[in-house]
Amino acid sequence: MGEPEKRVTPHPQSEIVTRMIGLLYPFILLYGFHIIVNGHLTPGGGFQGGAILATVFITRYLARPLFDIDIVTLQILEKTFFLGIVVSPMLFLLRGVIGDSFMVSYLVLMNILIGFKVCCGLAILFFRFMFHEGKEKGTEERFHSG
Amino acid sequence: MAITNVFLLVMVVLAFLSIQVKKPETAIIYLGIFSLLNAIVYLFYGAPDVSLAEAVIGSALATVLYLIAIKRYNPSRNGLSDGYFLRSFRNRFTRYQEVFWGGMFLLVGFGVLRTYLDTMEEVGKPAWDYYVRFFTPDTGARNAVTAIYLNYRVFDTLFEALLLLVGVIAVIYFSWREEEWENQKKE
Repeated sequence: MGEPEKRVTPHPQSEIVTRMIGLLYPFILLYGFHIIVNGHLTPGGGFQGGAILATVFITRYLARPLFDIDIVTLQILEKTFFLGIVVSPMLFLLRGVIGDSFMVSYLVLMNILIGFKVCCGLAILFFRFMFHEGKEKGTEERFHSG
Repeated sequence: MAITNVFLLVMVVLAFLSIQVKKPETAIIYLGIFSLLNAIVYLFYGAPDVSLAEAVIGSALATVLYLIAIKRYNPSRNGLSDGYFLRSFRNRFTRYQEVFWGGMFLLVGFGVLRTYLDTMEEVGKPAWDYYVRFFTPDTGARNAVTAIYLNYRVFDTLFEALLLLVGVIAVIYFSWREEEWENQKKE
């Protein structure tokens, strides 16, 4: 993580909230991944799981109000995932070649792609709202320190 | 069923409170509770997928985003005083006009609801039967919602994902324009 950056909210963070969020953090991640991966068996799916994963970013911000997220990388990731979402239904063109056994793996793959894409998109929205003016400065500092 | 009706009544009360309250932050908190109750009602009606989405989006993400937006919103920069829209909307109607238009909208709403309830049963029955009977052998999924949105209706999913991408691009673009405008004002 390197040295902490200067973007800290003026009022100090509550100790209880920080510790509780640190405890809850892995469970939220686990729940999000569970919902994404089991989307074809149980209620839920890519969108819901991705939104839960995006709330991880929000809770992380509540615990440590830093701006060390690279929004440009998140954007590139989101576009890549969208490309994957567009390309992967074309597996159905190869249905005769691969066989019918790929259907469940297609569902899992699509759910994972949609989940990560939604997570990236909502995280970008949140950070753009939160740090309305600090995009270039934050990334430059990050590059120079790292 | 009784619990569902209680929740629905509380939702109506919360919706009314959220438009009557003075501070927008309080209204947003009321809307968050409204979304949570909405999710529970969806669960009782047998729609766990929608319930999950409503709980995450409505009560967690939307509440936080609205709160940040209100915190960041600075009315004095655009030459508007606080509560400008509310006051102008209030001044546009007298009390009798408010009652009249409110009654008219309620009547139209009940009319629309009645036609909807009359025609609800017939629409979409063959597709519903087909999906419920054949979704597991067709797609290999055991969750019918996933089967529909990833197999039967995958183009809709593609365009929904595209819409989210467009929304993100729009947010980045508009906040970028604002920065440029501020930089120009400083120079």
